[in-house]
Amino acid sequence: MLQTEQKEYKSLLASRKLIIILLLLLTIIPYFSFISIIAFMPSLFGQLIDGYSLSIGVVLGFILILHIFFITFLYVFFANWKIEPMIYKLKK
Amino acid sequence: MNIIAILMFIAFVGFTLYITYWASKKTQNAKNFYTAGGNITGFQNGLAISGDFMSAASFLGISGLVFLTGFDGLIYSIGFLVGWPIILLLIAEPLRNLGKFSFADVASFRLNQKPIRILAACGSLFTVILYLIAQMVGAGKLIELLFGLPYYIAVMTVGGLMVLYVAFGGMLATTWVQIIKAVLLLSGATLIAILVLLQFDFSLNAFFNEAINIHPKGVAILAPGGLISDPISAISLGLALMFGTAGLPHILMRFFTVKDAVQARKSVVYATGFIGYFYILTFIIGFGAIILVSQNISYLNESGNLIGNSNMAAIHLAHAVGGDLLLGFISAVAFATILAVVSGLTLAGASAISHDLYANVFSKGKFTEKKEMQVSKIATIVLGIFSIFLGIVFESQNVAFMVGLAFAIAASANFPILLLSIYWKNLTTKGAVIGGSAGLISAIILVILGPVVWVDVFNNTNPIFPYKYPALFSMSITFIGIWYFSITDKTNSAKLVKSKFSSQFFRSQTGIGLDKSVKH
Repeated sequence: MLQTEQKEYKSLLASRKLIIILLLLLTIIPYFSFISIIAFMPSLFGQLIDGYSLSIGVVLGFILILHIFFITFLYVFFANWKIEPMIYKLKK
Repeated sequence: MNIIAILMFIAFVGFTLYITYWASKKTQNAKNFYTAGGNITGFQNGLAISGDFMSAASFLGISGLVFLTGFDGLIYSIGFLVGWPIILLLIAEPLRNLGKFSFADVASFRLNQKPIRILAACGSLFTVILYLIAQMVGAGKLIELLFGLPYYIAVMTVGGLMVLYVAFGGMLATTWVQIIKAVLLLSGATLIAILVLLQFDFSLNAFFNEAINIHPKGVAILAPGGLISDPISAISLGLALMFGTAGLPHILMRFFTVKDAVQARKSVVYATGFIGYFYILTFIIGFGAIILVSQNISYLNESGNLIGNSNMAAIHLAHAVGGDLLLGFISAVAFATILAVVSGLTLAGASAISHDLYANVFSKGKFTEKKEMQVSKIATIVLGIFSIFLGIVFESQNVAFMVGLAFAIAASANFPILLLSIYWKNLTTKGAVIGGSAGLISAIILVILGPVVWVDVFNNTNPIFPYKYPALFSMSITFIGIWYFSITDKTNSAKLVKSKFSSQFFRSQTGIGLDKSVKH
């Protein structure tokens, strides 16, 4: 049987596709929402949070930076936990 | 003149030249020259990648942009950062599993070598040279200010040192120079941020409140300002930053320095962490400069602007919070940063010339490893001279914008070719070449006709193309071009290329077959 027809390979592709699409959406949607607000509703980001000298835009910007890091962390966690054992099986 | 800066800088140069000497003895074959032997760990590579990214344009340019515009500086930072999940999810592992020395290895894995290599090399060289200009300009300004050297001598010093690192030490020296500098820069920036926030008892609220009170724009500095004023520019800049990172040849090249896909993905997490942390620091540094530098006449010239220009905000702030000692340290670190980044860029440019153009195209397969390495050394010297010349020509441009242009080209030419060659079965050589060249050429033309070059450099009153950021248009041209000319390609070679996809995809997803040498 061809390598590319193996059941293990197909399930590897399926799991990887799922996690990649999910995490891509979790990257692209927040980022373009952020950019779109800057383009269409800049005044929203300029509003100060009640009682603080911090604007909504600055706080969300900092959160977005942490979020982006968290995405990469999630992927590596998932890849090492799920994907690597599947590749290991295929190698045998 | 700052004696501490000079001493620290000499120490850095001495130490890195020693590393180069050590590396030169190990860099006798092509694998060591291009990839440091493939033995860099994920953590080391993460630091080196973040070092490539934390350039003079990032450190001085973005903190300067935050100093001038406040919130708008954050737009660039987040854009630069958001490219990393894209690289990790789509590019890093297949790149490692398919390539050997350059991203063109991946693109030409099943496509016709010659046209794809030429195109990929052009894309790489344009990106590298634009990026180099930005770094050179930053270097010249900084050294002019700190050491009192004329601008052109400063640029020539940087160019000379970078040629030494790359030509003799290859990727091994370049990587270690980058790692050392990344650690120095992260420590230095952390120290400035801590010293600034210390004055506010680490209360971000009090800190930003003070900035609002001092800055003439008041509370508006915490809001989006003039950087992005229309939706087209917003999306176009967003696309360039997000996908440009995944098309930067000096970044992509770093994935060949690690052992396998596991280390490749690890390096991205470390890199993203370091870079994200660094951007938070530059934001604090920019605001710190608003508070502590913008009102202090010792940092201003007669017309009330910063001595040097806004790119010097971080340097002046270092002096304001840490005196001559911290100023000296940060200046030396900033100079080291420039040296490390230009070395990485030059290596990527030289390998595009020697590995892609010379070995795989012009020599027609009749090359020896020794000859290929000689070519890469000559290419390094030529690139060095060329970047010195361009650094002098572009003296008065804002460095952060120059990097933006490099990103547009990377996003419009390099990234689509790489992405589709990995994932799209129906890609053909014809499609990739026509679409990729169209994207590359349109990105360049739109930049030339746009406000940044047509108005600011050529001194015309109105731009022919109204937008500063061309990526939305040039990326669309690339993808549509590649798609159309691939699906209409019915030749036998197209069929052959398509038939090779499933085995290429298997290898890109699993890394199985990696130990066998890549055929060229």
